This record gives sequence, structure tokens and C-alpha cells, in this order.
Amino acid sequence: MADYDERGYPRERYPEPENIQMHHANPGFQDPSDPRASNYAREDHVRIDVPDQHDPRQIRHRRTGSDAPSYHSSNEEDEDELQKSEDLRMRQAELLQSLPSRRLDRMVEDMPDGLQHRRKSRKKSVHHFATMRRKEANIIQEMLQDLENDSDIDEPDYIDMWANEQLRNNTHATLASKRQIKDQVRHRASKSKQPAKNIGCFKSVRWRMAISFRRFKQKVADFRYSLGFWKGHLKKIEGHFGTGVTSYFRFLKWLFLINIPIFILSFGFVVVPQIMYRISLGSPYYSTNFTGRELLTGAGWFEETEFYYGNYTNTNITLITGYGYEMQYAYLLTCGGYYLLCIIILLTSLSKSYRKNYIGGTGDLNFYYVAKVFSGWDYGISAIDAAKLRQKSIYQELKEYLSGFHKDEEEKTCAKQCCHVLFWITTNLLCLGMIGGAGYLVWYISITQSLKTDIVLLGELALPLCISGINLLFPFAFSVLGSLEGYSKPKYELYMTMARTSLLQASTIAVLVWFWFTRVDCSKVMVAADLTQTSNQIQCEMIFPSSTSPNSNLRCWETFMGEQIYMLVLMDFIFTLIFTFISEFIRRLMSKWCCKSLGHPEFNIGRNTLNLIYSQALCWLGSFYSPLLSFIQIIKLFVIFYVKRVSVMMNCVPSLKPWRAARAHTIFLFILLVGYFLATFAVIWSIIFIRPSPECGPYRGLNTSYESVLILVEAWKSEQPWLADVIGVISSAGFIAGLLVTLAVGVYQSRIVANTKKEMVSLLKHHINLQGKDKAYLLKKLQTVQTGVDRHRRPPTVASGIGSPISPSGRTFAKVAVGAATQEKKVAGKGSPKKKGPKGTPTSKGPTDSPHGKTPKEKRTNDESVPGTRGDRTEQSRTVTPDPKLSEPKKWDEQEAMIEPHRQRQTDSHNLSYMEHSPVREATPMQPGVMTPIDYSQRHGRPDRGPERGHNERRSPAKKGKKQR
Amino acid sequence: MGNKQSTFTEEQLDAYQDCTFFTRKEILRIYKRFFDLQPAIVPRSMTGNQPHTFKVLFEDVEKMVELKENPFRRRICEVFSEDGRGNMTFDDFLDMLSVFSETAPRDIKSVYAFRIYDFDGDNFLGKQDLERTLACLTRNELTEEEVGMVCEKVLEEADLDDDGQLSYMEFEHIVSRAPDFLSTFHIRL
Repeated sequence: MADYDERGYPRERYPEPENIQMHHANPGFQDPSDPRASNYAREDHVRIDVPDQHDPRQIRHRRTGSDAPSYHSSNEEDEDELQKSEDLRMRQAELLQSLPSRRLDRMVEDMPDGLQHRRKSRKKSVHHFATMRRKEANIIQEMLQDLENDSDIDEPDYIDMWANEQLRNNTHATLASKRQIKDQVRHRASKSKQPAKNIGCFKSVRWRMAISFRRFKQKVADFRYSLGFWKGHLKKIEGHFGTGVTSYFRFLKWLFLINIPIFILSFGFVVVPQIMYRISLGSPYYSTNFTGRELLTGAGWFEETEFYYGNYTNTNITLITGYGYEMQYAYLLTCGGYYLLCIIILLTSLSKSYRKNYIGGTGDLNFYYVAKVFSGWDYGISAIDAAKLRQKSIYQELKEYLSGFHKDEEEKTCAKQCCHVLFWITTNLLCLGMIGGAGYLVWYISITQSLKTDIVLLGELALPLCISGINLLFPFAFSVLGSLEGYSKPKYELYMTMARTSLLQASTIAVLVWFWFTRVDCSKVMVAADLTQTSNQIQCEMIFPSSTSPNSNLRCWETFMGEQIYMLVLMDFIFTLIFTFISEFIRRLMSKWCCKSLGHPEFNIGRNTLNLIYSQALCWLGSFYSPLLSFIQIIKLFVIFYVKRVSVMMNCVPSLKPWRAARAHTIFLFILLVGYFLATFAVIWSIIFIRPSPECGPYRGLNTSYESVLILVEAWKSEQPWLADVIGVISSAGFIAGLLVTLAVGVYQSRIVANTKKEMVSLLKHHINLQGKDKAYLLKKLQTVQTGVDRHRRPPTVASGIGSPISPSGRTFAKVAVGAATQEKKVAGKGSPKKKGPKGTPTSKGPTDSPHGKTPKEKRTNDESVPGTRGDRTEQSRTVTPDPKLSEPKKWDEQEAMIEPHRQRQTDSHNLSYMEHSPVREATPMQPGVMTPIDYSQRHGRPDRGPERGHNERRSPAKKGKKQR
Repeated sequence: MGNKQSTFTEEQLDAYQDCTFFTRKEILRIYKRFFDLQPAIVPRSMTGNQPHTFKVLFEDVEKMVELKENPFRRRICEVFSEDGRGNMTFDDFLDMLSVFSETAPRDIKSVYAFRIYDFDGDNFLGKQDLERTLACLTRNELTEEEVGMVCEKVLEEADLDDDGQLSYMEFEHIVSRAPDFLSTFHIRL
């Protein structure tokens, strides 16, 4: 006892979890050759019964329990022994099965509603049949039963819908039985065709709407499927390269699809009316001829077409008298429309992707091995090489990871770390310097026109060439720097390179746009520009005249910007093609013929995708100035898709490095969103603040493009006074402030909710953890008891008095085991928690030292001294019984027996009698139902408080027993 | 072949549409794939009992492009086939592709992934299951010791209740955190 008190019990009770294999540590369990052992093991088998009437396994328990009485007469025969040991093993397995944690899934179901994560409406949890395979017939029965129970049964449509929802999400019925269910449901539905009685009008309307919406969705899905193109290509690429490379192509396809509505909108609402207007004016007139050179520069002939902003009229187009078409508004509204459309599409897909990949798969990446093992294989792979490579890649990764695990993370010295940080700062500064330098270069070239040469074409293309060159070469430098920096994980390196590249691209374009906008500003032009002969009249010009066509460029700055952006888009396209050719095709040839060490090229997903984003941002930027730019973008993406597809299949080999496609996709979408915001910011800025060219475009003569809207609103206001009031209210400071406050409150509220949920999640996680520990503890106790029982059939070899700690650890542990076993039983009777045991080692050792001298015969008399116990015990404790009288004292008795073997004869009956009145037993409620985390927390409070209670409870029976003696 | 009128009745198509994640056209396409597995014997008309009685043997199913390089192909067929031996009826086939389709939710995918990795079918992923999974994944290249270590690590990460094996709940808990699971547990049609 004293020894027991000395031990820091709480500390022992919750050590680190360990994996405990019953079968390994328990010889009595594993050894069927020793009949007596098994016999005893069976007798003293500590049962942890989790009463749960709903568990079908319980029925089996009862069955096995009921054959227990036969044991008395079967001790002598070997066959029986064998059978018994078999039986024991079975029971042990059952015991394990009935451990609460084995039934975590059931626990989830049994949880009160508030705890369960809410599923939508009537949809049943898919976990419902998760671990137990039930007979199909049962499933059908159950589903129909559910249907029966539903009060809204009379509505045929509802039945239909219900069944569909159920069927699709049921993972346990095969398709055939699903169809069977559906037939039955149909049958029922047709039987109850009479109008529903007990449902309200509202409900039935709601269902009908839901049903028609579902049908509509099916139609849309069908339509979308038929729209789907490039499916075969994508499949082939995925078959050869896995999801990583495919994600690039899917992104490309997505961008392609996004550009189509942009094109349709601008073509339908802006270009077509303008063309019709021009036709109505007379035959189209072009002052310049198309030479082909324009395709590169976007100037010349293009300037006189609808390709650019400058050619749009500012008049009211009236093709049919009475119906005017205000070009000003059409232009602005169309532009606003597709920007709005884009942002909606972008945000929805970003949020979807984020939800799927970040919230669905919560942030921490502590599951490296699990992720590798269970989602490492790419089920899309269908090419033999790719499959081999994939296997090799998984092998290598696992190996690398294991070796890293062996190293145990070498400690970095302070100096080393300082060096590392310094190096990191240097490289970052270098990168920033490079980006700044690139920006300055762009600025310098734009302002000095220093690259102007006699070669006309080159002079015009100088700037786009330069920018595309920068965008092509600098990322190489960044990736080299990134690899030098030596990040701990390759993904950091990747993200760093990506961040730098996108920063570079954004900054060069930003510098360019800033340059244009400042040059364009009319007032500044008059001051700063020497080239313009300023007078008082407003004249907006770019200050750098092109040597070839001075007039056209000077006339209309929007057209000029459109041209520049067109050139940028085009150059980017050409560079992409060239880059693909060089870095993939030529490299493959080189690796094949001359330098084999170079190896086959791998498809660089990151850089290629960033290029796409860059090009799309350019397109958004230019759409206002050149409405048909989206068309160019569509063509560009189309060509790139095929070029890349051919190139990747011909030249590239799959990468050994893993590509986290899902996460990366979200990140790419985010970068695209940033690009979108930058582009629209520039466009909106120019619409609101910059004076449009006075001689061209739909907004000639206005101070800003935005003014047209103001004029329109003013006109409305004067027409309808109430509108004026509404607008007045909406634009008042109070309204806007109120709106802001409401939004802020909304954000705050959802933040609080999110935080609370997070806390809840961590709490539940903690509970799971505790339960794991509990269970380990429990199992350990179980083993102790079992081994103890195995040992004490031996004749006593070492005499040891009660309470005299000859081998402290062993002896104490036996007691602890007994105490804990009671504790366990209580706990198990209550529900799920499992206690984590003290540090394993004494468990098996303890009983070895303790001299248990109880013989089988004694044991049997002991049993017989309590008539009916043996038979009833199994029966009752397995079934749900609130009265543990018959089982609990027995166990106590037996356990006492193994601690105090030499006194066993005398004390057996005493023990029993005291146990009848023992407080322990009274404090052992055998309640049905599984304990939920909440129950558990209520019961145990903090984990460290548990043991003290256990301690007291454990001590009391022993004391009492002594007194009685 | 694969013609709407001759292959399936309208009701069948409707039912399939309701029970799977596919649209009509996809279902017909899948039928074509099914037909191509063994063109000589697959009936052209599926209007009667054929969808759940006529079976294509595993040896033919596994030759399918989508499966032929998959190390888990036998398990996949076993899990989805009604007889558990990998011989598939059209219903089984459709069910399989439905689970692997892009639109199938994570819940369903994880249930089937669990079954696929549960080689011995005891509803727990024990050490042996993990070892076999690893053997499939790496073509037996890892040494025994390494396999043991990886298994240990997997259990360390995922085994919440320390019973030395993964129950479905644990598996689902972990797999729902692996962001790439959805994109990799997917067979493009």
C-alpha cells in the first residue's frame, strides 16, 4: 500500500500513448496448448462490457455467454480445453471489438444532435453503414422503414426526391439494389398518387421547386457534358503525367472558357452595334491598307477597325427610328458586365477550391505518411511508364523521408542559422533589386525611347520585347536563387519562386501602366511635354510620338494603350511558343544526341501557369481599350493548348517530384485574382480620373468616362424625383456608414462563430486523444490481469507476505491492476473512456514476481461457493444490466486471489461478503449507451483529476476487506 | 451500339442517373466502355436483367486502360463486384466509375478507398493491409524494415485510439485532410 502511495499515480496514468497488441503481450491468450491457462484466463477474464442494445454484436455476446455454464464439467477433456481456448480467443476478439473506440463510428451516430456535424435536411449520414456491411435486404428494409416513418410520405414527388438523395449517397447498396429500391419507391409513389393531405401548400410548392431545380441541374449537367471538349487530351495527359501536369491544362481550359463570355459580351453589345452603325453610315472606309505588319504591331490598319477604343462612336445609334442605342452607356456597361462576371466566376471557383482543399483538408500537414500511402497513388494514371515512375517516386520519397527521420534533425548552430538568415536576406534583397531594376528598365526605355532604331518594326516592338524578355529570363534566375537558398521543403522554394515571378510580372506592367497614365494626363502633358504645342484648349496626348505615324498615335491615347497591350499579349504568345520550343523540344534533342547528362525536360507547371495568369491579366487590362482583345486571348490559349499538349507528350517526362495539384490550384486562382484586381484597378482608375481623348472614342468631349454615368443619373433624377431621393439616400454618408457597420458586424459575427467552432474542434480532438489514452490504459490493465491469472496457477515459489513489497514494481502493479480493472469496469460500464496505463514495463513483469499459488481446484471451489455466479455473470454483464452484483464481486474476488494467494482459502468468502456491500460496486453504474465526449468531460473534468478519485475508490475496498478480516 | 433506344429503356437511364453521379450521355459512354471490354459477348441490349446478371470476368476488366496500370486493380474490382471476385456486371462497372468520378463527394470516395485498402476485409486497416498497400505502391522495393517503419509512422499519425489499426473513422478523418485525395482518387472518363 505504501508503495502504491509513493508512486506518482497521476503521472503514470497518462503517459504517452503506445501501441499495445493484445496478442503479443498476452501469452495466456495466444497459447492454446496450455489448457489450464486458457481455462483460467477464461475464468478470470475481465470483461469490459459496453452495453449497447443497438449493437448487433451484442446478440452474439449473449449467445457465447449462454454456453458458459457448460464449462464446469469440461475441465478434464483436452478437446474441450482446446475448444475453450478457441472460445476464449473468440471472446477476447469480441471484447476488443466491443471496445468503445472500435465503435467510434457508432459513437458519432449516437451523439446528440448538437454535436453531430449537421448534414443537410433529411440526408442520412453516409457513415450510417460505414463499417458494418449489412445485408442488402436490410438496407432496403431500413430505407423503406425510414420512408414509412416520414410524415410527409404522401407526396409522391417528395418520395421520389427523398429516394434519389438517399440512393446516391448510400455507399453500401450496390447499384442493382439501389435500382430495386427505386422501383419500390416508385411503386409506392404511384400508389399514393392522391393529393397530399397532410402537407402544407408551402411545403409542396417548395418540393416541387426543389424537384424542378434538380431536373434543371441534371439538364445543365448533361449540357455541360456535351460542351466538354479536350476531354480526350486531358485524359491522355493525365494518364501519362498524373494530376500535376493536368492541372495546368485544366487551368488553361478554364481560362479559355472564361474568355468566351467576355468575348461574346463585348462582341454582341459593343462591336456589332458599332459595325452596324458604320455600315448604316456608308461603306467602311480604311485609309490604310492591310499589309500584314499590323499583325505584329497592332497599329496601322487595325487602328481603323473596331479593334480599338478609338473608333467607337459617341452618338446614339438609331438604326430603327425610335429605338436608340447609346454607345457610351453600352460600352461602359458591357465593360462593367464582363468585369463583374469575371469576378463572380473567379470568386466562386476560388472559394470552392479553398473550401475543398484548405478547409476540407485542414491546414496542418502532420499526416505525411498517411497522405503518401492513401492518396499517393494517382488513379488517373494509365500509361505503364507513368505508373512505374509513380511507384518509383513514391518509393524514393518514402525513403528520403525515412532517412530524414533517422537523422533526427541535426541541431543547427547559432552561427549557421545566422548565416542562413543573412543569406536569405541577401537573396531576397537581390530579388527585390532585380525586380526594381526591371521596373526601372521598363520606365527608362519608355521614357527615353532609347531602343528606337532605324529598323521600324523593331523600334516599335522594343518595349514589348524587352518586357517579355525580362519575364522569360528573370524567373530562371529566381529559381536558381531559390535552389541556392536551401529551403527545408521543396514547396517553400516553389512558392518563393512563384511569388517573386508574379511580383516581377506585376511590377513591370504596373510601371508601364503608371507611365502611360502619367503621360496621358492632360494638364501634365501641357507642362511636361515639349513636343506638344500647348494652347489653352484641352488636348490629350502621349508625349512620345511614334516616328512612323505621328498623327494617329497622338490623336488617341486609349488606342495607343490598346496597341501596346496588344503587342505585349502577342509578344508573350510568341515567347511562350519559342520558350516551349527551346526548353522542351531542343532540350530533348540535346539530351538525346549530345549531352545525355542533361536529361529529358520536365514540364514546369509553376512557371507555365504563371505565364497564363500574366497573359490573362494583360487581357483584362486591355479589354477596355481594345474590346476584341479577348478574342485574341481565346485564339492564343487555343493554340497554346495544342502546342503544349503536343510538346508535353513528345518531349517531356513526368517529374519525380510530387506536385501538390490541389493546393497549387488554389494558389494560382488567388494569384489570378490579384492580377484581376490590379488590372481592373488600373482600368477603373482611368475611367474615373483620366480625361478621355477629346477626338476619339465614345467619351470624347467628356471630362472623364465616368461622367457619362453621372450625366445619365442626373437625367434620371430630373425625370423622376423619387429616384433622386433614392439616389440621395443611397449616396448619403449615413447610409454608407450604416452599410459599412452592418458589414463589419457581419464579418465580426462570422469570425466569432468560426473561432468558437475552432475551439470546439480542438476540444473534441482533445477528447479523442484522451479516449485513445484511456483505451491503451485499459488494454494494459487487461493484459496484466490476464498474465496474472496465467501465472498464479503455478505453485507458490516465493513466499511473500501481503503488502510486503519484495519486488516493489511487480507487486504494486498487481494491485494497481486490480484497482484499475475495477475502475475500468466502471468506466466501461458507463461508456467509452479508456485509461492509459502506466509505462508498460511493469505490466508484464509484475505478476512474475508475485507468487500466486492459487490452484485450479481452489479456484473452482471459489466459484462454486457462489452458486450461479459463473453462469450468470457472463450472461448478465454482457447484456445490459444495471445490477452488477453477480459479476462485480466475483471479479474482485478473483483479483484479490491473485494478490494474496496464500490467504486465499480463508479470505475468499470474506472478500465476497464485503464485496456485496462494497462502495465500489455501488459506484459502478452499468448504464447503457456509449459515452460521448461531453459525458466524458462532465464525468472526468480535467484528466488529471481522474486518478485521485480512482485512487480513493481503489483504496476503500481493500481497507474494508482488512477490517472485516 | 450504345444507342439510347436499343441499349437501355428510358426508366433505366433515369434510374441510373438518379443512382450515380453521371448524366445520360456519360452513362451511354460508359456502356460503350463496358461493351469494349469484351465485344464478343457483352449483350447489345441491356433492357432486361442483363445489367445485373451478365458478368465480365476480372481478367477482361483489368485490361481496361484506366485500370491496367493501377496496382490496386484487383482490389478495386473485388470491392465493386457483387460476387467479390472481381467479375463485374454493368451495374458494378457503373458504380465503380461513379465513385471515381469527379462529382462524387469526399465521403463516398473515402468509404470506397477504405474498402480498397482493406485487403483482408475485416473493416480495419491493420498492419498487414498497410504492408500490402505499400507493396502495391512501391512495387515491393522497400525493405521489410522500411515497410515496418512506414506502417508504424502511418499508425502513429492516424491511429487515434492506439489499437494498432485504423478504423474507418480514423481513416476518414485523416483522408479528409489530405488535400490531394480528391484529385488523385479520380478516374477521368
